[in-house]
Amino acid sequence: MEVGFMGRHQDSDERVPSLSGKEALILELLLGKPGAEMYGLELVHTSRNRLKRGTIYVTLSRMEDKAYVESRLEEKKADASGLPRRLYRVTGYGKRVFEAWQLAREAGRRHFAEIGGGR
Amino acid sequence: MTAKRGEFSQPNWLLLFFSTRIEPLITSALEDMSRSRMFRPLFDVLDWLYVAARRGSTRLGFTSKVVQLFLLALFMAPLIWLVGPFLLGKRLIQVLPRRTHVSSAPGSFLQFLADFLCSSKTKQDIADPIIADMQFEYYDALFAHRKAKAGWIRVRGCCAFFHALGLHRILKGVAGLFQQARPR
Repeated sequence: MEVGFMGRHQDSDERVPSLSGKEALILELLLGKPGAEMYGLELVHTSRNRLKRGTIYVTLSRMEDKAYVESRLEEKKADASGLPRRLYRVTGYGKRVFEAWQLAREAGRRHFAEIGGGR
Repeated sequence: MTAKRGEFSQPNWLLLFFSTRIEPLITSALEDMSRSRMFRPLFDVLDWLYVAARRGSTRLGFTSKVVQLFLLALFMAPLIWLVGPFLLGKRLIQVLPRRTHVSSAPGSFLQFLADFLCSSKTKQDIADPIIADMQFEYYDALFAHRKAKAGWIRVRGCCAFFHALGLHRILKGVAGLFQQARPR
């Protein structure tokens, strides 16, 4: 394992998975509908405007690069018009990362409460 | 060939057009107006004045007839100049043949822009889903006969498109900077 710029691990296999707030929210929404796939716009509506139309696909594209989610184009119906929409679902890796993130967040909260930051 | 008195030497197309097209429109517009509850009192006054003017022609003198006709004209003038054009316009819209308007699908220009500006991956992952969502919402609104909402969706879709592409470009630039700064 190499240590590169600003002390980060450069080996991709050894890299610690990162999860931003928006990414965690997307994973939470996708996992809230088990076995189902969601459209980007559906995610925006379900998040009650915590996610924005202009940013959702940039975030989803980044998450797809990180292999947290996978996507496919919807099957086009005969009478449908317009471009086919893209459906997203969580991968197994994405689910594990989200669970680890939740555990870490809980541990952080507990620690924060112990040292008296909860005032 | 010389024209006799009282005949036109050539077909008077303006008169013909007025009598066949415009006059029926004005008549029907005035009929509409007389049927409308809003203008009923005005037409009652006009009726009264007309009857009074006709009576005046037999019983009263020339001066009172002129005064009554003047009053009639006074009431008619604002009626025709202010309200007439609106009703005439309304009637024209009803009468003239409606043209079917064929327009391109919303987002076709955005697709062209995305083709021109973005890489195929960016287009596939970011631009196309935004356009697809916009089209889906737009057609949904049109099927529900909500044209104003459809227009608003179009505007919002454009904003989302430019916002996403701008954001994507900035994030990509920042990531590129970090990659370049990394020691080899």
